[in-house]
Amino acid sequence: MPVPISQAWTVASYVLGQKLRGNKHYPLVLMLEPLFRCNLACAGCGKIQYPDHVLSKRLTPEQCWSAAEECGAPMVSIPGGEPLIHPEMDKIVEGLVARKKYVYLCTNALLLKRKLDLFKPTKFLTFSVHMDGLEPEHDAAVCRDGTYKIAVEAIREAVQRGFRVTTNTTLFEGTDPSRVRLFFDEMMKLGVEGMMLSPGYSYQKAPDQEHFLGRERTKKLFSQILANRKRSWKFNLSPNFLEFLQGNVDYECTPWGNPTYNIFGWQKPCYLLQDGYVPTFKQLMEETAWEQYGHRSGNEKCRDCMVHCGYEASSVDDTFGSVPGFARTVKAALAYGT
Amino acid sequence: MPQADKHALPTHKPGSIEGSTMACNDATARRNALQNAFDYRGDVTLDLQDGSHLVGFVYLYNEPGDQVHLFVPQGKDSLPQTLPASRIARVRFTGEDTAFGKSWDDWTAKAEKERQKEADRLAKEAVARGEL
Repeated sequence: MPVPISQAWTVASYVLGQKLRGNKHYPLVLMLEPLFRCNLACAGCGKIQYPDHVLSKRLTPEQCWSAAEECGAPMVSIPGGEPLIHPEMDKIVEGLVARKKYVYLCTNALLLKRKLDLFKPTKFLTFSVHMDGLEPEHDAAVCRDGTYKIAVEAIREAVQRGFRVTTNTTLFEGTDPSRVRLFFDEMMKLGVEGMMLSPGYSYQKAPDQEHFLGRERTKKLFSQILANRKRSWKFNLSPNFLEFLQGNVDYECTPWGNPTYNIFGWQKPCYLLQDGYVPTFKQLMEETAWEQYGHRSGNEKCRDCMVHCGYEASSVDDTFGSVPGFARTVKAALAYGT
Repeated sequence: MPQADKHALPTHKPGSIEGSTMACNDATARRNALQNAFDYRGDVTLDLQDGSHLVGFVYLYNEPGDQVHLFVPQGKDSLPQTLPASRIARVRFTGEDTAFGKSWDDWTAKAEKERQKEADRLAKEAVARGEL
């Protein structure tokens, strides 16, 4: 079981509660970006190109907790930037855990080993380590040699100390499926709880627009990677999302599923697009023209997107939205061992 | 290089609006200039109708509300400020376009030695900031 039963139960009861109340637009994971500063500068990243004074800005712990309460989602993902640069990240996490949020702290792990002492192992905290492949692929993707080795060492240490650890992998054009399969083997050997996968997104404002996958190429790539999958591979994803990535099931985007809060406010409409900001979560949900987003909307920016922050929530909603959806989930879960 | 050739060099980065100026003579021009300012990954200088200037990073343009929101640098930090869009006479893209020249293609087009040098420089900067 790649996630604790308590987490699965919390999410299931939350989604069912939303369904019973007839809420169509409900958040599943809060994407909390407390800073944009990173200690890497990966080509193609659309999150870190800002003037220095903007990169120096930080959300306070109080702002983070308030956003989590305002949003109400049972899970909080903390990307960035590199969250471990934030001098009060331990305090932020502590406050979120006290609110019984399941926190995924997304990190490149360059600072993880040094900062592990600041955190306490708990079922509510998972370090989600950015790993884009085996050593040559990962170091090339993050544009710095030696990063893979540091991350592997940090993963070992965190696992050994009893922390929940997952990997988070973004796949781009030119990925060799056989190398990704070897990478899965290596990560599972490290003792991670599960692996997260997603195709890269062509950020509107990112400098790299040519190495992201189109929909058909995404489906082909993931079908190749996940064909005859090994039982030892564990994925920290909804099994239906993995089916979606291979083109075995089709979903529409759920852009409100992973609402994003950062130093600018609540980001419209999703984690990947920046069409504006509003000061409150209520305004985000009520004032965003959701029909203008998603693959079927015809919005050019959404055309090729199959990223988990838009479609994982769709697959979870499918699980609890109908008997066939639930049956699909059970069948896929048995196949993936998730 | 002869001086004449140097003067022929473009004043801004090719493909970037860095260094350019957009006037806000009417509603359409204002919308275009401010939408570009919102999309721009660098600071801009807003020349106001009263002759004053404001430098900062535009993070929101609320066209129906006639408002521009920006972070104005104050030392190492910056503070949020809002002003009516109608007060803006022109937008100058004066800050560095931080997204320019950082594509994957730009990265791979560099010689290995150059890539290593850049990676080392970025790592040193991160160490100096206490982030590595």
